[in-house]
Amino acid sequence: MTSPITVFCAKKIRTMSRNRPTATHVAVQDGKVRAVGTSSDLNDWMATWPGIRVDDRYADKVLMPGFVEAHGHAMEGGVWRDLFLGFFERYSPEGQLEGGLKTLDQVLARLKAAEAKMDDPSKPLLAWGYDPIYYDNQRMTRHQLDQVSTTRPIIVLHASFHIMNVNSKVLEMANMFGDTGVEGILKDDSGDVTGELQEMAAMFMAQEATGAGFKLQGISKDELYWFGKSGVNAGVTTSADLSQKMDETQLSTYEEATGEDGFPMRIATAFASMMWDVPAGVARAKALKSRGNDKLHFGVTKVMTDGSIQGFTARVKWPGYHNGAPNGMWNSPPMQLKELIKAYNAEGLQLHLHVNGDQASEFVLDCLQEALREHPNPDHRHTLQHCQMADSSQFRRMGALGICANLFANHIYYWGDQHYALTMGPDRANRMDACATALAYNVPLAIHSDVPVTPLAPLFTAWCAVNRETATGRVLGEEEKISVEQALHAITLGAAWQLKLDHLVGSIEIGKFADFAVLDADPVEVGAKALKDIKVLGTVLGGTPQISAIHGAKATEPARA
Amino acid sequence: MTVPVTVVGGFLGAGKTTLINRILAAAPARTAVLVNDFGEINVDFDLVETDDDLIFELSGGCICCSMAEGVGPAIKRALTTRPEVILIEASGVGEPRRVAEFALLDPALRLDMIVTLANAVELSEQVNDPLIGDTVVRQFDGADLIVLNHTDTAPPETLAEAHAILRRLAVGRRVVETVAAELPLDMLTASTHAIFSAGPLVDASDHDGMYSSATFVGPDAVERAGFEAALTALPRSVLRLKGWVQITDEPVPMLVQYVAGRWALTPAPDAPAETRLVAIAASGEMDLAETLQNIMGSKP
Repeated sequence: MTSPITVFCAKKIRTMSRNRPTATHVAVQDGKVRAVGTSSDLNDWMATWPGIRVDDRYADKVLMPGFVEAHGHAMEGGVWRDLFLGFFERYSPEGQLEGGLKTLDQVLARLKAAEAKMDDPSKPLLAWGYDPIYYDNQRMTRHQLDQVSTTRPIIVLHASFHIMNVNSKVLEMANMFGDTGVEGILKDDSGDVTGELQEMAAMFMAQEATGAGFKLQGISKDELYWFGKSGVNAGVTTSADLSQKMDETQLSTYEEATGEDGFPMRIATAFASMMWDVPAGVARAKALKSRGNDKLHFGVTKVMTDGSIQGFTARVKWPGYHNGAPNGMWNSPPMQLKELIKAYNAEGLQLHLHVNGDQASEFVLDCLQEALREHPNPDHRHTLQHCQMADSSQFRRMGALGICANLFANHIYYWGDQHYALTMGPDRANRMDACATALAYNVPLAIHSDVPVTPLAPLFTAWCAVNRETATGRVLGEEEKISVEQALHAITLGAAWQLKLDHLVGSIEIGKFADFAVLDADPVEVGAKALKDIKVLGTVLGGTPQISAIHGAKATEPARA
Repeated sequence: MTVPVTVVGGFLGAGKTTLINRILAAAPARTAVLVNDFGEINVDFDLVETDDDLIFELSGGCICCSMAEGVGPAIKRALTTRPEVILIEASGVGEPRRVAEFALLDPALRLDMIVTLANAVELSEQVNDPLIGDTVVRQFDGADLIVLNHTDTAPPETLAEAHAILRRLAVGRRVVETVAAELPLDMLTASTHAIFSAGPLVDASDHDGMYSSATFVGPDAVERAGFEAALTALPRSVLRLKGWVQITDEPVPMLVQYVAGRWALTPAPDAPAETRLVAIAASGEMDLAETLQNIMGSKP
């Protein structure tokens, strides 16, 4: 008794496979691709396999392999419970358009509108995604937030996650007025407490005092579903989740959610090495390799090294930050990082290493070279994550060592102008996220969003890598542009390779999961400039259609204004 | 009653675990220890000698991990065990000053002391290392006491260089030299439990005349203003002064906790109705007993 076969026919199927780059029909059986072909193949299939069902819902659509987000966080599913205050517009998992606040007044107006809708007068108003770098670094003050409410605690967490602004009510509840001696409670020149809180202590105590905190860790089943819905909206059928502690409690939440038929996306969760001591962590990472299911994949171990460039916490080489800011922060002492890298590599584990600044990427290359010399690790696919400032010499070494690069192409649009003017200056801003250099030196390439740091939308990420335009339209580094085909590879097979899932996902060919992105146009035909304007109508996951909350339900309606 | 918090910082290899064990030896039985060993090969908390249920592990990683499993949540967990003292080890790249801010903000806590260790042998190399130099330097910010450790293995010129670096980086901070982080036990703890009831803490180690300590016991009360002025004027070599003092117009004895220039006076209703003080100083610069007498406004 064989299981039924469904054939999806489309205007075009761009398979990303070498042997059959384009097609119009794909046969699906048991959630996997059974055959790829055209209408004439369909006749053969019907003759060979009786009872085939033909599904023509995508007859005027384009199918691609479901996109693979190579660096995202399941936290995306949790952040939307709080108010988003971003400078750029973005969609919530439910398809609600949020953000797009171009002035500080608009930020405050959005807070007021949200406050007015809250019933319980004592419930804290929490907001995230605020980034003063877009408002000429104008500081928000408690007095401004007091215009929103003097009775309800209000906490606005910055996009960097390192700073927050609070209103007077919070300061009062947390005893932060007066002479606390705490440098993280900022005061203005006249000695007035501004409501800007920096560092863990002040931020943590403000949350504690109001009895409400941001949900940055500890993922619930609901939140995993929201994360999956964001994936459906973006055409993503597999997303990395970098990273989680993954003790048994957390693992059971993940296994329960992803084990359900209706779960809408595959997740590749990396193991957070920095949340375990090394011997216990190595043992746990190895044990995880035999866990998971079709929609939950383990194998990658994440290592944190430095911070972020726009937060001035990345570790950079000479000449340092363009505006003279002091060098950034290590997450652990470098020699300790080296021991950790060696220990995981020696056990044959695959490492994804967060490196933003060029001092961090260079140091990690030194560590990996030493680790691989001591313990050769065939097909290791160790990957430098973000790797935004690596120069060509570092990419040449990566090529020589077989190390992959997952570059943060979205940064070029979202912070490119700030990198040009403030953080890195013109020379280094023009060569950051150097996709073309990576490919020139045979470095396996993926590109990513780091959702929720920037929105999950691989076609937009591809647009960034292809056009390298900042938000104001400046082109950063003409020479680092890559082609549309190269960018499409990076968001499918390129990303799948780095997650060691390229035998399962990333192209449409026989034997792989029947995971598709449903598009209203062919990315190759529309060309470089229009990549970001392609509408994603949903996905197909293991042969089951999933509908986008943004464009799926109202596919025939005109685009939003 | 607030719980005193001691923060121990310093780069890898400076002697943090050794110092923590010394503090534990001097501290009350219910001392909660927060250790920061994630990502380490040698799991240092196995080396910390106290009850397992009083050890709280701190997570490393990004800011999100720190919010969820860092110092703040660990302090909250530690407080549920009703500790008498909390001892926090800052991570090898952590800034002790920033960790100490928890103790300044949490009404359940009181900052006792920030100690930053420096490795006398390696300090010069460390501060000049482009990878870690700035990280090592930042750890001296806000330290009440800098412990220049491993002086036995540092050649004289290396030791002199280390002192020169500290004079430049940590202007006006108190610096003491140690071998294996051996500090006087009375220096290490804010505890007043054992001071007089069972006599001063028994200190087995020979400090080679590097420290002096003195006690003062008397029935007289002093004026608050004069006493506070005397504390403010204490010489830099006084590292710690603790005990109880009778203040005129105060209904109960006051607990005095002075560490390296920073001090607090808090009501101590259960303390005996007299004045009992102990002071520890780096020796050689003054007569500590006389200094204590002067504080109390009486002649020796």
